[in-house]
Amino acid sequence: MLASRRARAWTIKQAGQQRQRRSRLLLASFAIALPLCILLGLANGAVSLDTRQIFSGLSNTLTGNAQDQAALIVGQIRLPRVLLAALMGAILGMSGAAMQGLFRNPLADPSLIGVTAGASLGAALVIVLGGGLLQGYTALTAVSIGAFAGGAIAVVFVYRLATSSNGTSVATMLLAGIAITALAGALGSLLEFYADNDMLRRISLWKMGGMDGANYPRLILATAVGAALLLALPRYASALNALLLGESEARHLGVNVDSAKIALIIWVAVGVGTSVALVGTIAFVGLVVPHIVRMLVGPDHKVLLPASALAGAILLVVADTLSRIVMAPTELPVGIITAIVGVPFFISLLRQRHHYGMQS
Amino acid sequence: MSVLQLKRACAAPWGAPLLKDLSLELEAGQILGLAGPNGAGKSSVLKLIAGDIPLGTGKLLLDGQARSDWPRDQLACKLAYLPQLSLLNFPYTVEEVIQLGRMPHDTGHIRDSEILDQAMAATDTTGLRHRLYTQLSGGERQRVQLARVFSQIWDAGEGGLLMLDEPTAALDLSHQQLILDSVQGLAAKGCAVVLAIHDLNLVAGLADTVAVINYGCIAACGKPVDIFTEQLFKEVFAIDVVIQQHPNRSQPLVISR
Repeated sequence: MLASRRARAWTIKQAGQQRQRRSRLLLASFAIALPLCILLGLANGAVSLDTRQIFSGLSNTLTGNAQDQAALIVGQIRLPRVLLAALMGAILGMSGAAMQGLFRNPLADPSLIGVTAGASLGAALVIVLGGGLLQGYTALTAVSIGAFAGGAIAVVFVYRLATSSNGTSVATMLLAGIAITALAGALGSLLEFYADNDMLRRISLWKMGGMDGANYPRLILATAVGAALLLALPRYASALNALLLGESEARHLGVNVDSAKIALIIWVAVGVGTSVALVGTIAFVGLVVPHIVRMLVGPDHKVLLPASALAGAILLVVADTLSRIVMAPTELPVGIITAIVGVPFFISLLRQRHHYGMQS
Repeated sequence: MSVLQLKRACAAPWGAPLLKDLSLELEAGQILGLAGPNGAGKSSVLKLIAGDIPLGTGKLLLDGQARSDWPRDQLACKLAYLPQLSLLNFPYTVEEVIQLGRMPHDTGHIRDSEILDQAMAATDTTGLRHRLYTQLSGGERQRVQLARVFSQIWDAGEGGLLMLDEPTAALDLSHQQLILDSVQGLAAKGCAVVLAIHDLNLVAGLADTVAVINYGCIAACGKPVDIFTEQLFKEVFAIDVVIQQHPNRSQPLVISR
């Protein structure tokens, strides 16, 4: 009698700790995998380097006497690029998790609030109007500024449309986001209609996304925005957990729903706006990474937010590395790779979604 | 001092008046039942007290202080509200959902897990604790949500206010009884309770006071024995009933003719 009760108590305790243990395991393995993936990204590309060359290259870059070829490749080309990919992946993954929580919809995407479409339109506008005047890094910077401005304007517009005297309705915001995305898409197509062949190619390449514009000034900007976002969003983890119950329920649990909503939207808009401005639109990461992580560890945002950031960083670093080696020396746009790498994994999880308690 | 006081409260959140001239008073440990036909305004009364719809004219006092003057976090520690419908569609475990009820409190992990155990026992959800919420039946979900609001005001004692909208709608008879017993247990600890229930015999057995709401006004308010009359049911619900004495308890029994 006593033994059987003890056995039952043990099984219940074990089952209760299962999700917790799996969360810890997942966070730990992501934290170990990310530096390994970064090393992999540094080692591979048009020229393959071994571990010794990477570390001597890194130390030479740090001490400022980068002379040999390996040091130049690691320090000047690959390091900013791989770190940029990691930061962008982390921003997109965590923003996606926050948006899915805020909209209480596992299919929400950071681009839902109009930021991506607005940014694409802003970039296309600069490419077409700037025409041949802009070349090289000036062009890249001007396009980035145009993209950020376009994204910001779109978000402000969507937010205004969804806000009335009764507060901001996330349902209206979703619909307003779809409307603004469609409008920006139409205006973008109109621009493409009048663009010449060279412009068209630049617009479409920019839309596919890529890390090829990576340099240290951009990396510093990305680090500043990324660090702020990665520190700010987890502070809303409890609020997001309560918001999954519904807005009114969260309010009754003492959450300041209105200020949490505004703060989350601003942070995601800044994060995604920066990422679109720096590396173009990268589909899939913000939508599917948090979805996959939630299937593995459940919807608790205290785990979901950091785990989505780590998983997004890993996915984008791996995808960027692949984009450099698959057709070397030609580079594939990274957005193509994220989808080709991520979709099969996602589909295999979808096939067993009943194990994870997802509704059909 | 009264935990809850409504003085000539009116609300018109969407233009047309929804609630008119409501006056109610509730002491610590008392149970107030809200009855009335569909669309009469039972849920609106609860939403008004919970703050989901704004007060138009009149007064709404909690512990003698206007509701709007209460800080959000203090209110969350003493007032718990279970709406009629739950929107939760994410695969939390049952335990995780119930623990959200302890979010406003700062009582520490040990006390929180004690309360979790007691709230699960009070709703018969202990056996479900590691199941996923999304895989539960309607009645099981309702019991989990009840456990969540119970745990939110488990320690509130006098000054606590529990509001339940149709808490027994999806429950079988034995679980209905269990929940009503648990509500009475909370009331015995000093928590004031307001609940909207359609089953008039349930409300007659549970509530100290019943307010019958019709067209957004209070049609009758008092002890069930005093106000349950055949005349009232004809006027408010448009049905003919017989009202008798319950064979075992001192409560009226409403039987449709």
